[in-house]
Amino acid sequence: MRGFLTLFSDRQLAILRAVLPLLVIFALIALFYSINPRFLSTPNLLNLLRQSAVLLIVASGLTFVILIGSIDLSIGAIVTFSAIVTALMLSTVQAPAFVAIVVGILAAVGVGLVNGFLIVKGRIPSFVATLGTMTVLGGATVWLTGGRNVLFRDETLRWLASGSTIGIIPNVALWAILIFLVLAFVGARTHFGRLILATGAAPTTTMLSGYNVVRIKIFAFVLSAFAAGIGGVMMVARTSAGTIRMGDDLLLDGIAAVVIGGTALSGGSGGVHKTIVGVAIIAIVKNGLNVAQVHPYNQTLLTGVIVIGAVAVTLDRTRLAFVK
Amino acid sequence: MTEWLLSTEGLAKSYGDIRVLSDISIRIGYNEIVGIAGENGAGKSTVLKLISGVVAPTEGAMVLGSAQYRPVSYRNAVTMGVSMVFQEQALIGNLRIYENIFYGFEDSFTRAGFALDHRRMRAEARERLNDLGFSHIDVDVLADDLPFHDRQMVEIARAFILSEHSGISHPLILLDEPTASIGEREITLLFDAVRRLRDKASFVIVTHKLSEYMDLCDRIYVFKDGQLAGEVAGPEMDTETIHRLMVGRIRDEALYHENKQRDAYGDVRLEVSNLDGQDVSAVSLTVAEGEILGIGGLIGCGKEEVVRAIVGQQPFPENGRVTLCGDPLPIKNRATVVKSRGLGYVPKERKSEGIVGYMSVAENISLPSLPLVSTVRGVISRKKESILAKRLIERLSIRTRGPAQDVVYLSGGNQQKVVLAKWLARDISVMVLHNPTRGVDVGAKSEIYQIVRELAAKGVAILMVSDDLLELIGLSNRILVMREGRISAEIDAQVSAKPGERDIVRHMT
Repeated sequence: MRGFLTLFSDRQLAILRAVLPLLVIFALIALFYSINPRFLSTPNLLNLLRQSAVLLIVASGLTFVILIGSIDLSIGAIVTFSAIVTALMLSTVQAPAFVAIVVGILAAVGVGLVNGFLIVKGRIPSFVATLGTMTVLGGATVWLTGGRNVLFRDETLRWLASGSTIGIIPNVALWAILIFLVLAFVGARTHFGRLILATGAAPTTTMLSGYNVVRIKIFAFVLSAFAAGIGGVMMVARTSAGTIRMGDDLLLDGIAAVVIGGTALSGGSGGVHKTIVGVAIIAIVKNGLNVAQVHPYNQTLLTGVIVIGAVAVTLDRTRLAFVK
Repeated sequence: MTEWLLSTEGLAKSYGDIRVLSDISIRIGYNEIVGIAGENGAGKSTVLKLISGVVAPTEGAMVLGSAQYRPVSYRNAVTMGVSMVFQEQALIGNLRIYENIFYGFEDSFTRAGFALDHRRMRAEARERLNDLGFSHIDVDVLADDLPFHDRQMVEIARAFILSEHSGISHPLILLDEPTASIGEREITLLFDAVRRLRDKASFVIVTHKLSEYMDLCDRIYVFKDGQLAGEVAGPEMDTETIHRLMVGRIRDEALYHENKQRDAYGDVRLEVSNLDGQDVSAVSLTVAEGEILGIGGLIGCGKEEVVRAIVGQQPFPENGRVTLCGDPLPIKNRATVVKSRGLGYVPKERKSEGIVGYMSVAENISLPSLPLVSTVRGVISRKKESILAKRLIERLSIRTRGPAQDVVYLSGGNQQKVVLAKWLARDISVMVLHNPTRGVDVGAKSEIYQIVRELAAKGVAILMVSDDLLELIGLSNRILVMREGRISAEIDAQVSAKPGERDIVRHMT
């Protein structure tokens, strides 16, 4: 690979790196289309949007935590938690939709604050701290629901996710794009986004440049949890039922999407705007393998292979001192 | 058997274009204790690293005993009888002493072909420690649980045991600043051990605390700027002679723009009073508008802690008061508060404290001043950022392909200019410089000094902590020398009456 790369100049390499992920997406689309043309049919494309919307929201938020060089293992549990809280507010408490949504998201933000304080003030490594909150939340949701599904019927929520405002595109996809755009803007253009990158790349430099690195880090965890909370609300709005494992897949898919997008797990390199590529690749692979009627067992196997291959293409290793 | 145990011929070491050591030819005799003295950065530690195989020389050759000696790694050197007791200790904290002693040499303690014979290893460690007179050391404790000086003894013992293990009867043991972090009593113990063991080995000791070594060493080589400045032995071995060899460079007045030095200043901008805590005691100082105050001293003298307290870099001594432009600084969030009160800081470790390597020149310059490059609150304007960067690139003549180039790809001098630019973009009233020209070539040095002079001319109060004596003398209006946490001297350095290097070094040890 290195020998191959030396054939290009720096500038060409930079362009190649920007284009390569898109080429991967096109190649995957072409591959699945050639196996089964139904892959590009309107119903399947709408399906693809529905399937990837929540992942896009959650992975965009998670990117901030990964950019500071930490990890948030609790995002899947937070999705479940906020979904269950919202569902309970609607079914048991009979609260109005607006209130249920706000409480669901606030519950997630609360978890994010706890994560942040455990890591920054309690000086517990993020891997362990968020593994802990993940487990606690898992217990909390079972306790809250007694292990049963929480069913509800609410027009506002149904419209929020499954209704459509622009043509036939489901609203959940519009929300996802909107949130992605906002978070990508925050990451790329605002002071906070710049400080997140600087903190991940050189925490002491950032601190000595006059910033409260502790606050920046806590905020990253809050933002990650906030996005996971919105993801949970969207998910429960789509299914009208809160179940105790509904967010589980989003943890590994979320981390994979961020990394495939090209954000380094070591922090300081990458960006929220890149994460959409990772989400697209994961969603296309999952949906495509289904459409291609690959056996479910082999689907998992192939997904793993593709994740590794995609990271090999997208991660800018020239910026990493060492790969750990 | 030849007369010398180790001799080096024209050793030199360069890192890229930077030559840190040149033409070093020294000899170490059998049963001899040789000292290597010199200022910070004179090349003392580098020569030890070359001898111990930690780094490879760029030029030159070494002879050990009667054979060519070309160690390819530290382990390789150890098997040939050359061991080093590192400044940062190399014992592994969570292993037991006997495990540490044979760490990396476990293959000679195998049992049944694969298992490790702990009992034999432990017994041998015990026996050899007793032979060497370290019977007080318990081989079963974890290295972390042993006091610092005992760990040092273990390392010395380890050097003996491992060389003997490799069939060497007369090892060469290199001690890198062994007394830097131990007290008087432990120093005596260490020196007793070295004296006791000299009939079995030769020692090379690197230090800048000369006085301690006068009675221990047979000979002292003095290094200066990466070269051998002289060799003293016997009766001529006195502080005066050694100091003369260590220093004595000619100061280039033009390099430091001494003609631009101010002789009158304004009000006091920065005041430190009774700073007290770990490694510093009763430090008080003031820096006035337009003044350049220099602080010198050996590594560990407390000058670094003073800087940390002023800029709020944890951990810093918390007792005492730091006043900036009339208001005392809080303990919490000090780093954030000092910036808002107009303090700029050029830190010692450029790569990890001064720059963000994989960010562009523009992004680095704007880092402390994001509001300056924003049109809407909280949102960065790329255009404004680039304009600001271009202005400073021109003002400081930073050599870069443009504002968008990542800072890692710039030379050390230009990286340092970017660090200065970060603060010049703001309105600062106090500037703290910590070794501002470390790893910077002469051309960029002169430009940096020019910038410092301009800042002073504009009324910025400047505090400069430096390991470079000439820089300290050339640039400062006034110099404080620190020793063991206290200010040991205050020396006036007006243009007309600049002190010599010896006037300063005298107060360091």
